[in-house]
Amino acid sequence: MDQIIGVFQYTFFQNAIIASVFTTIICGIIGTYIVTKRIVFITGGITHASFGGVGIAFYFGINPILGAAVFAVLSGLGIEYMSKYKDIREDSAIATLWSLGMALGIIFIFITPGYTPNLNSFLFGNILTVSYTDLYAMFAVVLIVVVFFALFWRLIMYIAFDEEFARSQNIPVQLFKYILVSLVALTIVINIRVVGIILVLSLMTIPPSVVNLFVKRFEYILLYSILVGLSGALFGLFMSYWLNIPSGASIIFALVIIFFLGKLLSIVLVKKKSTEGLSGNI
Amino acid sequence: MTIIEIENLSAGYEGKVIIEKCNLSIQHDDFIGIIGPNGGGKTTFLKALMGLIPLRTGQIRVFDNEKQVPKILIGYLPQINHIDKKFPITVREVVLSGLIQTRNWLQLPSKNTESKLQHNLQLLGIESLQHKIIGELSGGQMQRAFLGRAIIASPKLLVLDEPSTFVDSNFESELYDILENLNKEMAIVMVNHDLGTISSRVKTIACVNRNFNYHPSNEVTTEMLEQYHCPMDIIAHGAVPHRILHNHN
Ligand SMILES: Nc1ncnc2c1ncn2[C@@H]1O[C@H](COP(=O)(O)OP(=O)(O)OP(=O)(O)O)[C@@H](O)[C@H]1O
Ligand SMILES: [Mg+2]
Repeated sequence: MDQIIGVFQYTFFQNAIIASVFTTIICGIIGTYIVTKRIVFITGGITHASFGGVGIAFYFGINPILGAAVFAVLSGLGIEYMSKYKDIREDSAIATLWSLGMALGIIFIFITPGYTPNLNSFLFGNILTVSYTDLYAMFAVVLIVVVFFALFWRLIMYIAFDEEFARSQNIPVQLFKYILVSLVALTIVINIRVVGIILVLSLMTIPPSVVNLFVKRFEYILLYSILVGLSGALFGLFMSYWLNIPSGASIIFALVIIFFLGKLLSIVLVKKKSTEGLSGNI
Repeated sequence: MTIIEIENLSAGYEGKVIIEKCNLSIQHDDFIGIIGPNGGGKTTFLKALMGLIPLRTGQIRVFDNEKQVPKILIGYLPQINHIDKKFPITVREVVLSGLIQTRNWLQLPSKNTESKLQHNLQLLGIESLQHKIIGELSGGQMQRAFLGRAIIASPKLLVLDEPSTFVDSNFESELYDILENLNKEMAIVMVNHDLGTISSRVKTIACVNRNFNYHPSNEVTTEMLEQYHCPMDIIAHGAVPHRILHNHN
């Protein structure tokens, strides 16, 4: 017990907890959007493309997160722009973007003279080292995402459900999609420090997938995903501290455990419901 | 009174022209049935008409009370098949999304929208389903919900792409009664494969098979069938008046 209370005295741990809260708010909301809209694969493409930005930024001595942000937003807008003309189920084009980003990243980091940065921190993140600057940046993204969804969740839901109908009603669908894909890109970038490029996707997809097992309404999935994400993040954070394992991986691991528990529970509930139905008939 | 004037329209996808040489003027009380074979371009025509795909040539002018305007309210029932059945949205919300243009931009609920909604759900017999998720509905029930979404805003033009798909014959005749009523307040353009319905319920007919041919009557002729290679169902509906047409081969 002393150990639990003791750890809260450390600034790095307090920061990590605040970061968890911010991260799960952002990821719960944006994750619900990408899961229900079925653009998880596109999001994966944007995520890995951003690594190209990290590499190039290193080479030119710019802040790598800034490089990632530019790459993520540009590739997101690019995909959205293309999908205006073509149905974006172009798996192979996105897969190419995916690996191109990684390749560019590796190449530029390799040819950067002198000191080679620790790639692990970008690939897997480390929530225990977030700085105040990171926290301020995260808070800004939280504000933007929360305000945008609080105001427009209905329109966002209508557009995600049936884009063509929304367009027939003169809704500026394309504008919404550009804004949303930029928010997806920002979400990815802001989480690179926390769980890293490789793991950020599941931080977005697992919470809504768990909630969707039980809840089938967009607005509730938005809210509950934040709670599920937060429990996973805190659980993972403590695991990481006690077992001395990397925080990003342990958070994702905790979320996967929650997913399987949820799946189990949903199966049990369905079974119970169907036997109740049967006995009711008898 | 003309509400839409289509002049020499052609449209398609990615450099491929699907329909061309469409000329049509839609009056405020029109009920136009559109027939044609699968892949003939019926849906493409509707999309071009609503500005969902860019025109390759021609123009569409829109009028309100004889004055040219940038747009009018259009209700749209898409051909079933393009929505995600797993999307977490209730029937209520689907129907309410038909008010997307007329509500305030935050889409906040109000007494007025609620009473419109309930009236609409009642008309279509889906009140008891309003809290269900759209994907849990049967095909016919879903079609009713989408019809509800199309008409809830009382549009000036109602565009229906095969509205009777999945609908049982009971509701089908009810559906056409509803449409007949709505036709008193709005123009209707409807794609339908069921020739029996087309000729008994619509006022005029257009054939779409890559090109566009308008017939200012509701008589389906053998010549039209031959010209357009329309392999269509001919269904007789109990009390509904219908014509039996010759097979065309
Ligand atoms: N999004 C699209 N991109 C490219 N081609 C398309 C697209 N939608 C339709 N087409 C093509 O346009 C042609 C006309 O399609 P359309 O859907 O307009 O036909 P339809 O008359 O509505 O057919 P149906 O009776 O099957 O509904 C078809 O050859 C189809 O392959
Ligand atoms: Mg069609």
